[in-house]
Amino acid sequence: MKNRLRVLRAERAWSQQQLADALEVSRQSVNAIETGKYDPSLPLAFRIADVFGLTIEEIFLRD
Amino acid sequence: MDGGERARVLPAGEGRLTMGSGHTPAQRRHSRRVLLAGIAYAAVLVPSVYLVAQMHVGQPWQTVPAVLSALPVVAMFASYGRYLSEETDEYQRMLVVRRMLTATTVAMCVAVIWGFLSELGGMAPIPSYWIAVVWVAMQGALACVETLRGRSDGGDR
Repeated sequence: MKNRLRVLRAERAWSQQQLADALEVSRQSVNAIETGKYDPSLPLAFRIADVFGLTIEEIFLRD
Repeated sequence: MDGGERARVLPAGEGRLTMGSGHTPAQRRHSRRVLLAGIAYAAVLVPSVYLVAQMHVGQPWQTVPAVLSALPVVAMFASYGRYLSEETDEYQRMLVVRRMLTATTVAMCVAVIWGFLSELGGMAPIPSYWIAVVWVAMQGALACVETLRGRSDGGDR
């Protein structure tokens, strides 16, 4: 599953660690999601969407 | 309400999950429990070996130091179970589960191969607790590999 996490984070000038703190996960988790190594669960995807103020579909895209 | 209004203001790093160490709170608690189990193991093992070897403790009392020596190791394995229930970072939990499965596969393969080697291949049998040693050693080796991978993941801090 593709995602726009890195672009959205760059637009807001957030570091991976800042985003990780907001999501209450480790920086490694944010990096794994950004690089497509790990697809988050639905609850975490909703948390990510909430942090960016977007819907899940605006962040995560079909392959 | 549009997306801009819903977006959160990010914290300035206070209360971060990994506190800069790269470890989650659940991982730190697990490490502490494993360390305590290791200290207890060392504290119990030496007098147990001395009791059995030098004081010639016979059956059934010989089972007491034997079981006491095993208990800290059992506690260490139990700590893994507790860690999995405490970990809130799903990616970190997935990494540990994957590591445990890999270590279990390797330990079981070593046990089966060495079992046949000792039964049919003329090799000396080894005590069964070495399976646990292989499992723990694999955990350590895989954790090292993951740490090295994590350092070269290209992420920003």
